[in-house]
Amino acid sequence: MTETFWGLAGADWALLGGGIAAILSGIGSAIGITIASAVVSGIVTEDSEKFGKLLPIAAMPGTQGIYGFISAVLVLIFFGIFGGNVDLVGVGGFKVFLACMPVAWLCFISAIYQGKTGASAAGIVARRSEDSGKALILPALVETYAVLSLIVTILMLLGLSQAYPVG
Amino acid sequence: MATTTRIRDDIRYGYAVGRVRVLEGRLLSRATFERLLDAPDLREQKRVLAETHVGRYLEGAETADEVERALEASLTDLYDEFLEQADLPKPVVAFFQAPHDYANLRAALKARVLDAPTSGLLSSLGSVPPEAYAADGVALPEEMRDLLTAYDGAEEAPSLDDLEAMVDRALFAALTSAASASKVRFLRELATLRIDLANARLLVRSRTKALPPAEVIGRMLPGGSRALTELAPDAPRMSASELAEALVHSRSLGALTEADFTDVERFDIAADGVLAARMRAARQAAGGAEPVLAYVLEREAEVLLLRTALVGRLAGLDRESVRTRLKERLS
Repeated sequence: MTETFWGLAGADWALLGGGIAAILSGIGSAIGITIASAVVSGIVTEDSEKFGKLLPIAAMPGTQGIYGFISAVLVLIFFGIFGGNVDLVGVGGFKVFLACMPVAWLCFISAIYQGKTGASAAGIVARRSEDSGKALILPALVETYAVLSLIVTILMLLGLSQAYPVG
Repeated sequence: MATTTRIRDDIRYGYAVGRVRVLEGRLLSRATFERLLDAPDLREQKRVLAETHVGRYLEGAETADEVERALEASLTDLYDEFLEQADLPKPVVAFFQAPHDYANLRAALKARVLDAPTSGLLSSLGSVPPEAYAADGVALPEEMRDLLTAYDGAEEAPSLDDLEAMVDRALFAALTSAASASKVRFLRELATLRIDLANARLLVRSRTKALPPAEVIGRMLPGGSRALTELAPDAPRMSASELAEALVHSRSLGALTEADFTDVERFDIAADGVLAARMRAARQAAGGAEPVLAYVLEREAEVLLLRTALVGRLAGLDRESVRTRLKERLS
């Protein structure tokens, strides 16, 4: 089955979707971590004892990159690309591409905003070390939407894997 | 585009913002200033400050001159260790150093016109070393050299007011230029606010001193609110209440009331309040340049308060006078 959709084969669309999910969420995470880490570095320069309490805040935007990676791997597994059995029809591949978009875009944007929230929350720890727990909650709220996008993408991919079974 | 700029600023200023979040917790509190006021002498004041970030600078200071030098050293370190190391853009650093450069220029120019020595008058806080003001200022940047030698060979010595106005105009031009080059909105707004405050002060002063309208128009600083500039021809002829009402209606300095424009002294206190409120708002910004710049400005204001508290007492001002001045600025 080599039927194409808008000039691309199904496997091409699926790879494009998985690739964009991994790339955008990775870029978002890198930016988010850089924003949060810059502030954390400044705080640690003045008060090195706070490093342990600030590390989770700096690391938190990294999870979006992982979600994008998971989505990309699921595309490779569900549609037989790992096994070399890539006979997905063009329209099916396009649907896989669309299924990857929630995680790609939401993780890209939420990682950046989580970095910004983390940078602000780090200021709480800078002033009062004992409030580090509260400071962690605020950037964690942004995480909710990245997790939801991952769930949506996984559910879509599961549905599509049943509609377009491998082999 | 705006989002990209904000992300870039978050990253560029992030390190400095982090440092500020810790350092602003070490700023002197109102309680510390209250204790400074209650202290009977410099020795006790130094004891109060011993545990603070300025304590180490004041250790050996015994005279007013030594206290001045110690406070200057604390600001030098702020510029060297904070502004430079935070890798802030050059125009941002220039914005903070320009007032010191032009304060030196003002002192050197006055000394030149009055044929007096400049020793001990110049600070090393600016971007131009004090030695550069010697001789004909050949080591000064061109625009500053031109100002320093502007009255050389003049038949009649200029008034000190004329000198002040000339240097002020150059200073505000330098601040506006640095703020514009920095591309930091907060600095641009701050430069405009300072110009508006300076112009409003001139208008209030022009009435109390009955300055000729032509002189007022000539001394208005460019770059501020147009509504204030338009008041210049009539301000000297207005009554106190008319001028105050006109200034309030100009809406250039929205936070001030008619009562704040009644005399220069009252205006100065209100103007300090306007700037302090702007600083407080900037400090609360989550990221970007604002918290960093507000911190530096707040440290400068803190040095000013310390100077009043320490040098004021050493200079013989009684405790109540110093308390009044400090309370006005702390309020």
